[in-house]
Amino acid sequence: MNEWNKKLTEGVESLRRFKRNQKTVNTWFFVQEIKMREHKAMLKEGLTPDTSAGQAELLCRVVETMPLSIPDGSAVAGSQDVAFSPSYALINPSFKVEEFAGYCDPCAAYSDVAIEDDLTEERVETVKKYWENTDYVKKLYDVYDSYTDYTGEVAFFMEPVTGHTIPDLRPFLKNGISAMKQQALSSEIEYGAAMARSLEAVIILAERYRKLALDKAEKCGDSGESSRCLKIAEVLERIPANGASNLHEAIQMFTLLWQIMVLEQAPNPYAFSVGNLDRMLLPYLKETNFNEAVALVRHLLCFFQVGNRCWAISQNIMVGGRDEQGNDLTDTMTEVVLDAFFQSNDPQPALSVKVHSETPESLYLNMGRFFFLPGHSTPSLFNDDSVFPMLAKQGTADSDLPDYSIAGCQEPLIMGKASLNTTNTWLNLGKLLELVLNDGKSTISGKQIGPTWQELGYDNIDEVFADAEGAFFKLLDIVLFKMEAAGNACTELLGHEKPVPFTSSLMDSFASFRDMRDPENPGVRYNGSGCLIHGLGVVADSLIALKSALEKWTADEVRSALATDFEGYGQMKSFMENQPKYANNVSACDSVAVRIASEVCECISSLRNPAGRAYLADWSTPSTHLLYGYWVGATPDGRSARSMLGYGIDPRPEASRSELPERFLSFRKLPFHSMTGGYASHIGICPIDAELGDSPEAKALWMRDRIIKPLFRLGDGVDNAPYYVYFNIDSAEHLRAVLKDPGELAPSGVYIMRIHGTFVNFLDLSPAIQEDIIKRLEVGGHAT
Amino acid sequence: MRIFSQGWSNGFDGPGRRWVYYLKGCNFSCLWCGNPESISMKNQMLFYPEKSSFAAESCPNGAVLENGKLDREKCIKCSSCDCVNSWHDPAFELSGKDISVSELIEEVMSRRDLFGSDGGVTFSGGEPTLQMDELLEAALALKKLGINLAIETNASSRRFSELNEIFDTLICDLKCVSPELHRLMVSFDNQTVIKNLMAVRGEIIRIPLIEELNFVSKEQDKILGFLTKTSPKRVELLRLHQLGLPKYKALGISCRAEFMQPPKRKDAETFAGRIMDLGINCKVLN
Repeated sequence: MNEWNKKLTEGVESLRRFKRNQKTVNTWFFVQEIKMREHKAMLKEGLTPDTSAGQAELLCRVVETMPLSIPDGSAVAGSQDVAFSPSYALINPSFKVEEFAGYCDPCAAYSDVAIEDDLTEERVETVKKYWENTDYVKKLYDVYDSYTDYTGEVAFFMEPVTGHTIPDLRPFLKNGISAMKQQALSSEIEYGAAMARSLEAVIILAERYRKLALDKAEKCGDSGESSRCLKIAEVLERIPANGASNLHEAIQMFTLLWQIMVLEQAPNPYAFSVGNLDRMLLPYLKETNFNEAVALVRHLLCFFQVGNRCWAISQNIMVGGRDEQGNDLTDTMTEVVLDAFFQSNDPQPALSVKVHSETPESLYLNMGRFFFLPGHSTPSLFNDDSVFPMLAKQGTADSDLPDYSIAGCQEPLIMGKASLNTTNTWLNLGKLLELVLNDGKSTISGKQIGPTWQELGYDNIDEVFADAEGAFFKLLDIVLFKMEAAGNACTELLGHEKPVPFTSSLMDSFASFRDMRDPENPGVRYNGSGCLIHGLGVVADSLIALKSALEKWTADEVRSALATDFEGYGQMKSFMENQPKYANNVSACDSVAVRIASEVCECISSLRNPAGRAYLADWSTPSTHLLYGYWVGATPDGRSARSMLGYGIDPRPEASRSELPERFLSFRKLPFHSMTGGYASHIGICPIDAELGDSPEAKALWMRDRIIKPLFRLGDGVDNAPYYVYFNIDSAEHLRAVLKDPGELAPSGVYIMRIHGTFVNFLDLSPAIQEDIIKRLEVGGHAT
Repeated sequence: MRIFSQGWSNGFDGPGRRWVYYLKGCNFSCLWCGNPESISMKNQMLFYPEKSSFAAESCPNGAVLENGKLDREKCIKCSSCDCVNSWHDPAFELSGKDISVSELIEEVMSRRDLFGSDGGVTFSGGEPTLQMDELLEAALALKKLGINLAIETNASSRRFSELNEIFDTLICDLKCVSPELHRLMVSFDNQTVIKNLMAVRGEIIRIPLIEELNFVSKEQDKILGFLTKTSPKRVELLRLHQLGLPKYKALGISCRAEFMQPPKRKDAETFAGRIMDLGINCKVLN
């Protein structure tokens, strides 16, 4: 290892230690306080801070004065701490399912501020009150208030979507800010001027970091620290004004752009994701040697670690994949990125690998080391051979297909060209089933939430129960109408009140010169709104069991049993639990699930957002299967009230009765290409069940041949194939042992598992989420 | 063809990932049999009252007695099997299902691409050769469709040589070599077994190891002596396990090997070493 590589590697280890030990992160609050001050000042100056031009100006003013630092070890300047508060509901150890109140309160983050020294409660309250009194927040609260009947017990949910974007940084890395700014100005369009002003924020930030680096280099006594700081200053002399000429400059440019992007949407814009980092950085690899490249990418990965405990904010990085002709696009940079991930093994960012029928064996072999290493992160996988035709059917241009990327967990978006509001709405099918079987009333609270049976067109309970599926879809139609209005109200509000000229510049706005959030006429090529759907397995299994139950009990008896959470109806509960279930390759059951999935997808895709674009059916439940289950009463599949729903398209653990290949066969029947927003699916593999070779390579090929190829149907020429999966490869017993004795079994304090699209430090999860992961391994650990 | 079970297996019942049919009926009566429901050709009810609180209610014919036991006379006379078909009560497990060759082929072909490059279909039992005509009909049909085939057999069939022509992998049991001991262990003569195993080449020989029955030094020597006269691809040693004990209880019968012991793993490894010294590949499976 040469001297510079050594300094880079020592630096990254030091930086990782710093990030991991960071306890209190209030930077985001100070930024919001400065933003408040500048917002007030602009109003006083007669300016309009909430317009596109005003937002650009406000962004620059904030960057001029916000607190900045370059932690020890850094070889690249930049931080996302300016944008994120310390709590993320699902990852926070103190998170409780029963206390979750949604993601959508824009001022909830102020409860996270750690009061210390001169950071008083009064100071926090002042900033919170200021933003609470803005039009945006007041109007947003009004929207929420209008739908509390349905959102109170999460029949559906809605939110204005920040983050969840995959910017295209490539033109900026290539051309530099000066050229891009000139291009924006030459449009002679008002919005172009706002874009140009917002781009200046990057220059301001870079210059502040350059001075800071020079100052630190001069003051610090450590030669390694000093040379890293001098290198930062040297790099910042060329970029971001000019395009990057090498890997270090490209990575430094990347972090500056990213920092401004998250700052513009702060606080808490989750799930900004990268896309194919390998392809993006390849042009800059040039003479950089492999080890230096790995060390530099590790510095970049550090940048994605945010806040205390480096908690997950769903930032996804991809490698691999194919072009539109089917040629593999794996390159040297793919190896560099994989090596960097493997060496760092941190909880953020998350890694995904695109595969296809022509994925070279070498890529599988490279991935082998990630699998079967307890506590190590494992990549989630995407099937290009299925995603490409799905996106093409939605109207994506062939030339854009290789650029599909994943926002956060599994939602496919075209890098730089798609704004899909992926988490705009959340739908709870389990709750709707509960309402339809109880005359529109909640069995949890007794409240009348939905329409009565009479309003649905039924005269009595027997009619409803005999036509449960039909009644369910009648209710769905009514609820979706409201959900669409609620989601659109959020989208309109965000778009009108919170333009984002900087992020738009990283998207399609150099083609459209409109804001990406413009609700009626978005400045991106591809637009839509997302709906995350919960409860496929529960609804399908319930409809199957209900039909059989009505041969033995009356509808009134079934209703009473459900309303009382089976109190006094143990035999009926047992009967319902024991009925055949979806996802065990039983045709009669799978066909119901396929019907439910297809019809719900169709209903969702018939909804329109304010731009007239379709809603996207997204069968994803990023641990919300616990939260939403908590608000669902007993269901006819024998599930008790408040129990979890199925995860994504997976069956509930209790309903998973067959071996993994049988589950594959069930899944294959689902309408994946109608799941236009994506879906979640988890496979738990217990290592001892698998007959594996000892080497990582043998394990890699076992994963390819036994799991990945058959699941994705690679090489089968099948159009509608599954396209996403993630793994937790461990045993339930071992995870319990890790929790009992983390000092012995996870001495680094980090034990990576996956929740859907994110890596998480298993030790940092709340007990409910830890138990969910364990439970799904207990029943799902069949490697056959 | 009558089967008592079917399911997936990985690397144990032949190479790769395999879809296994367990055929009902066996001419041996091994003291330690791990699948006692496989022996009779007749359908049988396994009854696990501890798996359900409502077993009595799930049987409309009143075959579950007040003492919680199953009245097998009543059970056997019932043709509806509501407990299984309607209630799906886990207390009841009906062993025995008839499957036609065409149904079998449909099942297999729907799973074909899950076999991967080396997997396929395995016929096990019970003793699959007891249903030789159906077995060969199904196997030939699958063979024509390019499916890799394996069979697990006790090698006692007089039509054993026909298997060798069709199946890609033969996994043959060798319980012991001494005729008297064989009769004691499985209540069946082993002349045909020995003859068949001597005649075949490239098979996998699977030997169950039971302390004080076939794992005594005299019998070990005889097994080694026998192996020198054969040409197996591999020998697999399977130490006695008691995983089948709950099934005996569920069938209302006792297991004659309940208190028998497996040899220690290291002793089994030592024996495997002696087999390997003969130039024969050998591994201890459990």
